[in-house]
Amino acid sequence: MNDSSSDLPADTDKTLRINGVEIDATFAEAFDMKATRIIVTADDRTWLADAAAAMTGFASSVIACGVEMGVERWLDGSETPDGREGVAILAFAVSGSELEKQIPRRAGQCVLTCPTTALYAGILGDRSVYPKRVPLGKTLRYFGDGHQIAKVIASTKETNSPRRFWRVPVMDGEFVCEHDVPRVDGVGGGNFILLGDSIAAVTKACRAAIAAMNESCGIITPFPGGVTRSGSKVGSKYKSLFASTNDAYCPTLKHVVDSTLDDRTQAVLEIVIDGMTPDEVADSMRVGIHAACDAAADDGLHRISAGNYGGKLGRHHFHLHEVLA
Amino acid sequence: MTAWTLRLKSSPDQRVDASPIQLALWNGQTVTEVAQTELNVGRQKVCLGDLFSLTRTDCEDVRLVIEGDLSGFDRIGERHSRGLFRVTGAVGHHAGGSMSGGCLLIQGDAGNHLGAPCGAARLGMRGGRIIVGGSAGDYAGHRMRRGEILVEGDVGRFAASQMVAGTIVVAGEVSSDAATAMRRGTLIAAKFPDLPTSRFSVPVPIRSVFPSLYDFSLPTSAPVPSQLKGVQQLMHQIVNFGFQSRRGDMAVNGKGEILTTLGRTETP
Repeated sequence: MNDSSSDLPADTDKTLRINGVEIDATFAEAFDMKATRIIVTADDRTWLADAAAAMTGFASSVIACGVEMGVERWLDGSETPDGREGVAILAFAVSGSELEKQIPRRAGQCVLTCPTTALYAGILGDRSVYPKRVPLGKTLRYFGDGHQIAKVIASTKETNSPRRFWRVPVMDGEFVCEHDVPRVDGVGGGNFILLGDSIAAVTKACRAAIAAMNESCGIITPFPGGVTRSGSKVGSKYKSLFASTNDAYCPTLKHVVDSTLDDRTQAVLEIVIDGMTPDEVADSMRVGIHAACDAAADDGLHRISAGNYGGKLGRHHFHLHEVLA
Repeated sequence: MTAWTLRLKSSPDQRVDASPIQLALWNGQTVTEVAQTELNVGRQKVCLGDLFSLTRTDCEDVRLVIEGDLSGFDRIGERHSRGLFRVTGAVGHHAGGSMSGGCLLIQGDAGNHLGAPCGAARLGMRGGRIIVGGSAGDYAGHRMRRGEILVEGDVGRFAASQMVAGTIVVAGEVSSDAATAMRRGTLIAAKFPDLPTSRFSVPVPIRSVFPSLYDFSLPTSAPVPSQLKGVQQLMHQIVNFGFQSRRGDMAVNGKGEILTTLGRTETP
């Protein structure tokens, strides 16, 4: 994995194969993003899943959603501040101000509204460690209309540093919410592209990859089911669009545009990865590619590639051969 | 980091103003330098080294341990801001005054005005945690602004009076004049004091996860694991079996809360 656009790979080695699946000598191009992690807890798994689904809904791409979000992992009681089952949710945006706009809005409409839930910071550290903050209870407390209660707790089970919480009276009792959450640098747009003989084969490969990647920490795959069929290129013939279909990977446009697909390829899907660090993105790519090749090589998955923009837009380059080395 | 240990040689006949014993001021000082710290004993000034034997060792955290009965020493832990300040016996009045951080662990009883304002200050403690293994006197948490006071035994009159914020947990008895002029903050007690209904709301069961956020385990460097058994048992009851609340003091338009268990008697 490289963090510079100056050392593009010599894309000559096309011999790498995993279970017979060809791995292109290319790279995924990813971008710096602003990221945070929040923890939602609830009395039971049903409310928890409902809150998480609402919070991470319509958050597949910053292109139109403003933020990319997903469930990083489920947490048992020993991993949450209040001892109840929870989920860790990651959020990524192109700017700190966008993240500061999206998170309180979603928390207010999707978590505050969901019965029995509570909302906490998933990154620990006060302003001396993380001066950039995303508001949570800092904004949501006003729903309490003056009846809200601030509570600074000197020591929680996660840290001995003081943490500030808000208790907002709601119709099922109290909504407990941490004051804010640190904002950190993240990486968005790690990806790999799966090409196969049929949609069934590529679906099987993608689902195996996502299942394996879901075991990883520090990453999310924000698209539905972790997978997108609408991989995009920069720009469009229409001036109002700054992204449009990646025609080079559309099977229906073979022999119509400058396609990268051979005659055998009938379906292409892409897995996009946002991560807290470049290493976590690279690790999840490796895990996902191996899982896909293990699951669907015999069913028609025959090639893995990656999406990039020539290395000119994103600082992080995940060369497939290096990631898999 | 540095660990200081002070052993009381003999208690003076007159009360001692112990406010110069400040861990933050001793950073980088030698035993000789610290021993020259002057304390007011009655109207006289006495060097710290004349009252205590001092030892200084290196350790992983910042720590001060005073061994002995300091019930004649007032203003212990005043303005304490960082690290552990532990007293193996009792302390006098105004302990933890205007404290802003760290932990003050008093293994015996504490006198009046625990965590209250010191000098001409308007507000009491504004951070950190005070743990009292025994009982505390009157005005515990008076004008407290932030932080936590945990009392394993009883508290005297006017606990949490004029409290502004923070949390006080009392495993023992609380008098009926507690929370007088309380504006905000939380007083958690083993049972409700007999508060006037004209100034405090009737008890209401509350469903909230906030009590489970507290971690009242003792500092790992404090070798007294059973010291907070009553407080921890009370919090266990509240976290696991629910709690009820009274709000007030309405005489000052206050929104403080007094919490207790729902009356169940299960033990951890």
